[in-house]
Amino acid sequence: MKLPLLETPFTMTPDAAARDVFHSYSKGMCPTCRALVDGVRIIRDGKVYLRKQCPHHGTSEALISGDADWFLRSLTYIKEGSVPLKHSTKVEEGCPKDCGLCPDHEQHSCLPIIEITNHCNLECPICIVQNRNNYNMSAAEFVDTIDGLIEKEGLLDTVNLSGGEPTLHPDFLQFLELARRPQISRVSVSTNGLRIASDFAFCQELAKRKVYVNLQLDALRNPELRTLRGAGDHHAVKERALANLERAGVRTTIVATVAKGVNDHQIGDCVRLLFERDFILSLMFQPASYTGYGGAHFGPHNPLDIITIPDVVRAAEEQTGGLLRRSDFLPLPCSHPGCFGLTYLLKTDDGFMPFPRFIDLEHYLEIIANRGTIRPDAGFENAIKAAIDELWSSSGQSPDNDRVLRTLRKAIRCMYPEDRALELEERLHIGEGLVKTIFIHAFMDEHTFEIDRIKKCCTHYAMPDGRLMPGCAYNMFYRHKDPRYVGPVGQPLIWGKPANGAPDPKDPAYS
Amino acid sequence: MTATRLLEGKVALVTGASRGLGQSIARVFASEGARVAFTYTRDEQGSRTTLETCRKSGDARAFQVSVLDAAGTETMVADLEQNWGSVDILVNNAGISQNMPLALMEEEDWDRVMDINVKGTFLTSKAVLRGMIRRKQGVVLNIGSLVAVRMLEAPIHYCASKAAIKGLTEALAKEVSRYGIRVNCLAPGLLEDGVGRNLPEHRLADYLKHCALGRVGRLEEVARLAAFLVSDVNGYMSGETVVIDGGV
Repeated sequence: MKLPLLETPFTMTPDAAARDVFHSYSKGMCPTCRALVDGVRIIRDGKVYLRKQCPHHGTSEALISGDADWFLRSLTYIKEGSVPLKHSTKVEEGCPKDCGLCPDHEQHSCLPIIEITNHCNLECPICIVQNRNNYNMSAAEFVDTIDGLIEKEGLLDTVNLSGGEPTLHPDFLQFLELARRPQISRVSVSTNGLRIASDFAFCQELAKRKVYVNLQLDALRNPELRTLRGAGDHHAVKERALANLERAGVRTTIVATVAKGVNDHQIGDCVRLLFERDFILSLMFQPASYTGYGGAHFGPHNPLDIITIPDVVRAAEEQTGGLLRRSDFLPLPCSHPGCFGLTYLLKTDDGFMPFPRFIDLEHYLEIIANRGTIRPDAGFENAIKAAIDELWSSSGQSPDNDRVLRTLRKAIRCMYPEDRALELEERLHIGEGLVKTIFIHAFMDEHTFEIDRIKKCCTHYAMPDGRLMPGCAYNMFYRHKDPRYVGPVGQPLIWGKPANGAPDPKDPAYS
Repeated sequence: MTATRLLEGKVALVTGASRGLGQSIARVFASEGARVAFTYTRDEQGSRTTLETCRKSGDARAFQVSVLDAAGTETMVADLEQNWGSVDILVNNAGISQNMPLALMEEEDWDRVMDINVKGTFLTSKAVLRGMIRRKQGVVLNIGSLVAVRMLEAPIHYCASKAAIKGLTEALAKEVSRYGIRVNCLAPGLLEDGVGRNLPEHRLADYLKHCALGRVGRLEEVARLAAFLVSDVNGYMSGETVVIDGGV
């Protein structure tokens, strides 16, 4: 079934702006007792709020979209999900108590995450997990986890290794070898960059294994970084990490947690960094989630005044002088529209051209359906062909058309040379150099949690027992009960060696 | 009893034989008893491989000459006729493809594909046929493609060039038939190397779905058929386009 695609702004009656307008029922969480409670979504002042009623703690409210028009428009992009090949749990108690995935879950794993350690060498004030420094995944567990993923998904675009700080795992490089399976196209690593900044040989190992690095980089200045990540010269560390990644030729994604009033004015700078450095393929903004070890206590925090996906989009438009526009971004249809926004950008001779400016909406949705990464399958080829024909048949009407056509012609000549046939991976690599991506991924916290978003979640933690746990459900309902993490809190590790509970003085983050 | 080799005592010239199908044809022809000469343009390493492989079976020579170099081609043919006596078999294999949709295809793209694939076939054939007509014997085999006889998703200049080769084959076969020279066209479907390697996965899957044998062709299989087509055993076939595609 295809839902209508709405491109015209939502119209509200004049007095609707001054009072609450009921939109829909929801099920959320009481931020005080964490019980699941009924709620409603209301529109007020052009924004969308989640109002919940707890029998014990009364009414609570949280902002869930800073732009009612974006919210309403995003609901028209819903696409039926694709289910995994196999489910690990049955439907017994209902969502979110049957996670693993149960047959009621409405999306497979676009991005499975394997947490290989809960050791970390930072203590970030905004951290949304609980790093107890007492667990390193064994090789046997890791293989079981990978086997489970392949059993559920068949083929995987990406498997992400995370933590904790995954580069602290004593067998980290061995795990990269174990993840090298024909069913897995790429392995990415989410890291704070400390090891990368100080260990170039390690970067070379990553490059040799064609690993993608997701580098946590929230801002380009120390004051904001210290607020989010704690004391230390983070800026110097990040600069060294970027230099090492670039020098080693590691394909990189910048991951920026964005907190209202802290670093939301740095969004444009992050976008410019993406544009300026060829080795940076994508940029992921994560609106701050106020839950977990650090995030739950991060302040100041007003649930009615947080940054949401459309707020990031608006800031990107305002802070890049129009290089990006609101209309360049769309929700990711495969997930819940409240969870992801994104745009793809084509690198042209003189800048970047967002895909939605030269591909019509329906074909664009075809490209981004059910995945977060571009893959040259039939849908992609059809969409690009249609775009080329459309641009060509109307060329001359806009100088942008010819610019895009020139770029696409050059791309095809590189990807399909006359004198030799390239392997698929080589072609993909060339393609990666031509397209950049900006994602916005909104994790939920106790204030913004909604059951329907969980049901469509496509970012899953992969467990050694084969379960796939929707990210926010795991963080809020399962993580603290995970038997792997039970036990006394351990000592943080530095490159796989205990640091005697104290930060390593040689660690540049603490200098 | 010793088995008779298909091309014993023949002199064969294969264009574009530093890799892929051309390389395989040169190797099979050599193993079937032919002295093989072949051309290449840039791939020195590939040409060395072809030469070494062919020389395991007999005499072989490599010429670095483009099919668009008419003078160079004539010099090569003269050299072969002087040193080896004749060119009995010509395989017009050299060709290129370019994955480019109509909207992005420039005149230079069209000219380049048509030049190498069609004009190159014409120039080489003309250079070799002079001696064949003089000797009133010879065989020409042009390498076409399934895309020349089926409606398949492929670049239009490549399809047009291969269809032109089919037409060229028929007209040339008629024109030189009075001298006993046979001209045929071999039209492979998707092969394990060459154009097929550049095909996106879903297009390959689509081909396999419609292919009775459910697989792409092996170079060796096509080269073996080529050896039969140019052999004296196949003396009654001319002007024909022979498709080898696994049953598409």
